[in-house]
Amino acid sequence: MAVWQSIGNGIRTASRRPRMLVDLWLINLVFALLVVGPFFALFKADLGHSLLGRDLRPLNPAWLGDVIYRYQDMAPAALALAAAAVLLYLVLYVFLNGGIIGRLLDKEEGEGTAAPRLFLADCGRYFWRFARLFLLSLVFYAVALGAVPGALSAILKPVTENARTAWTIFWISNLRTVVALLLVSLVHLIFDYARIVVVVREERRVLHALGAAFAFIGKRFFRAWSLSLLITAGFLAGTGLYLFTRQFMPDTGLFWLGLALVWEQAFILFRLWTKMIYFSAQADYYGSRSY
Amino acid sequence: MRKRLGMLVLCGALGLWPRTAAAARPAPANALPDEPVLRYEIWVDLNDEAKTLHGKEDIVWTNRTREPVSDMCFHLYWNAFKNADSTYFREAAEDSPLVQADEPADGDWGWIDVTDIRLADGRDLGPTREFVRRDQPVHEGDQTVLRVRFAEPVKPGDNVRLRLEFRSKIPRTVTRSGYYRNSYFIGQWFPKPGVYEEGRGWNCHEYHNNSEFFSDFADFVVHITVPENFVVGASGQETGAGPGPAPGRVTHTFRQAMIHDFAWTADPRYLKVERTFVAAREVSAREYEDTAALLGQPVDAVRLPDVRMILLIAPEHRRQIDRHFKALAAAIKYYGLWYGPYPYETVTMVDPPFRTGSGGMEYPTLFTAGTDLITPRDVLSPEGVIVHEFGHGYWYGLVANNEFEEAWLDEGFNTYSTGRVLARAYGWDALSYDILGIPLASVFSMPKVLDEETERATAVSIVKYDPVRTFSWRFYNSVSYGLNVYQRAATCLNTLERLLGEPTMARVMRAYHMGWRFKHPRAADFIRVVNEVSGRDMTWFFDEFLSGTMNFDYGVASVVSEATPRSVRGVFDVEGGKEEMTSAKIRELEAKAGDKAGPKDAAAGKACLTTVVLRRFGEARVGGDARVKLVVTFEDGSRETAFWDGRDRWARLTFSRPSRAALAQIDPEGVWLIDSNLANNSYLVRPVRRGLVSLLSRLLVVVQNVLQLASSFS
Repeated sequence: MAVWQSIGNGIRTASRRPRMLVDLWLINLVFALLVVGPFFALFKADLGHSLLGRDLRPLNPAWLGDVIYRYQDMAPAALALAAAAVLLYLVLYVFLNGGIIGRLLDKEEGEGTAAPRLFLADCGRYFWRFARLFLLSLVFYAVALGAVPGALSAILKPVTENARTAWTIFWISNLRTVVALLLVSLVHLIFDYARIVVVVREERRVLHALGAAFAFIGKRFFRAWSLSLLITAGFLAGTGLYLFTRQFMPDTGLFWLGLALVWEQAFILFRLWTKMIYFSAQADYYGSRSY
Repeated sequence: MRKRLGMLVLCGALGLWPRTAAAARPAPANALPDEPVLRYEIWVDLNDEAKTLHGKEDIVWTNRTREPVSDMCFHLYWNAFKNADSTYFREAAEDSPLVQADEPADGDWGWIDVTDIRLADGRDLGPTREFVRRDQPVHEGDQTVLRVRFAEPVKPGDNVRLRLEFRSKIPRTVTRSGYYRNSYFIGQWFPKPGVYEEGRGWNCHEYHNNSEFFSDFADFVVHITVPENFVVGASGQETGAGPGPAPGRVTHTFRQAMIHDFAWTADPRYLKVERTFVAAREVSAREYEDTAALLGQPVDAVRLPDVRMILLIAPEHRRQIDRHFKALAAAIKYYGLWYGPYPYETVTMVDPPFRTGSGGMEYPTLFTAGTDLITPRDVLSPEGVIVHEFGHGYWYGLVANNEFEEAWLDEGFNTYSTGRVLARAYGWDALSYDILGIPLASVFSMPKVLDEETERATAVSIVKYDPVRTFSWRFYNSVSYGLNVYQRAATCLNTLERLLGEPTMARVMRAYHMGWRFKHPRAADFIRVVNEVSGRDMTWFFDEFLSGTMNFDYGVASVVSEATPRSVRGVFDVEGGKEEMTSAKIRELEAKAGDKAGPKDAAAGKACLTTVVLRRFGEARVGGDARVKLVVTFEDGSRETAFWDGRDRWARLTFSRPSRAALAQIDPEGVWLIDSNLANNSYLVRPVRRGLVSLLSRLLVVVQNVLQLASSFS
């Protein structure tokens, strides 16, 4: 019951922060626009006066082939730019997480507390601690995404090397992926609680916070993990619904274009809202079990 | 060596098999020629434990040239997999890291040894044996071409009979051949003479990393001995299976006339399914009439024979049996209708054994397809590979160009043909991406494309590396080889089709195919057929697009429409005196006429001058009688068409009309598919917004999601 209750409380808490949600969406949108901007300028220069510009299906081979041909020499630079943007955004979120968790945990002041000043104050207050946690998490992610799947491959090598059909490879490959994903969710879980511990206890020593997170999860492992997985399941269901419905929206006509744009941004909002729910539900669960 | 009498005797011995296809079919287009250059009888024994072959081979080769021949060169292709010093692996190591072939693991190398070679009279040719390496750069360690010398030359018209013995270690899972567990695909496996070319000697290249094959037409009888639980498939028709030389072993005999290679496969897991392509059921009377009209031939000349279709398929793919046969039937039908009837009795389609590295490869009357575990309906897999590999039976199998030297003549022709067949039989193909081995197309509606679109998209980007007409092993790397000889060559042929018109191109292809069946044409032969059938000299087309590395790109650089001024500034002679037309006077004149820009120009009875600048951005040029077509559409809906010979780097064309230009477009019919930039082929005076906004929103949401995914690791 406590798991469902915490999810319910988490949803309620996240839903009471529309201002924060909109702010996060705007940050995401502006950042994405900055990334897309140069590409858009490029396309506009090439296609802004062309009949081809009227039919820009994302995978229209006519213009895609042209673009690859003309800009193939720029591909390394474009990839570097994209990687830099992603890295920068990651760091930005290390910063923003402090504000998100800090404001979500501040039950007294509700939505008003999501005012930019307080939000940014929390961002700054926890940034270095969260940055150290982030660096620590990289080790765990490396284990989850590299070492464990690698070890699994080594263990299963006799099976894969002597596979009779492609089905064996299919299942083993998927098993490895599923294991990696579950491990990633565990790392998420551990570091989410570590951040919550930092904020709730004002813990300055991140290793202590990490230890506390381990201790907390260790005592109620399946419940803590199931809470996280249930939210993930909800997110995946929402994503499936979005993708399923999106494919029925044609690229022709202003109405459909507008509707698709709204629908796509609604999905981004849903994504951000889910992120807030992770924090608020887990914080609620931590609060209900740690005292 | 034997002379003609000897040849007749030997044919009596070897020629026990009936040339059934030639005898049974009344249609001349379907007949097999009588006299191949070569005759083979091969006995091969598969050792499943040791993964080896032991074979004996009788060869009769007839000298059909006008010069005496004193040696013979053989391909020993499996020595390419003997060690890392072979030309194959040396070239692979120098290739793009993206496509480098892996060296076999310890114990997995393959090789072939000719243990005995002698003339039919018993004279041993062994002492004359030597490995030759003629291709540049020379790789001294290569042993894929063996030469023997005759004591007496084979005179023109005479023949020579040889008997060889060979032992081979089957490589594990390398290019096109190999074994995995007890599944075997055996291609390029027997000592095979090259092609003797008058004045040039033996055309017998090494096994290269980027190349396929070339050999002479022959009659084959092959006896394959395998364990009795194996299902065997091979080129040609199986004419018998009986007890082998040892208990628990079976010998299968296959025969086929007029093919230039022989491949076989053995696997105890194969499901063997046979069906018949019944022409009367597959092709309607209307289709025959339409094809005959298209090709300008009588209906009887385009009628198709029935063909026995044999499928060897892995049990885990049994649900795809119907898809395999449907695709093969479509291929037999359209290749047959368009290029000429399939001349053999059978075709064997092999779903390649797991991990034998043999998928998607052609051999005469047998080909390997390849499929996935999950195959969505909208995605033309395995259909694409089935149509393509069967099609090689036409372009390589029947019209047998030299794949070492002019690979585009089969790969490009067949890629072009595959696209046409798939478009006719299936329509659009959904793009396929997998997540966790599951195709997205099985869940979502994926974008759909035609082959010619994707071919063009990849073809335009490769032009700067190599000409299409390059020896296969001399391409910059495998990517350049592949994109040039497949995609770029096919795009050139699609462009040629649009230039000549579909009916003319259809007649060109038919004439070329039927004229060069069972022969070894070169590019010049095809160009000759194009010029003869079309009645136009298209040599420039091949020079420009296939022999060079020049990019083809014509575009509209600018479009400017201005109202024609009622007067211009300056001093004019008026009634014996001088009068200056000042700016003020002009403004006054314009105001009186109520002149405004736009559609009112017409009402004011005044013309607009539209200037369109066309540019040749690429180095390649249109030639012959071809022209760049320009269509200008004006705001009042009227159109004007002009042509430019395209020789210079630019052209300025002007149009005086009562309306401003709305659009200038070159090549409105999309003839120049080879054009590397379709975006600049049109210029809309009013900028496009909707398409760009749609693209922006798509791109934006992708970036937003990627960023948010990244943030989850924060």
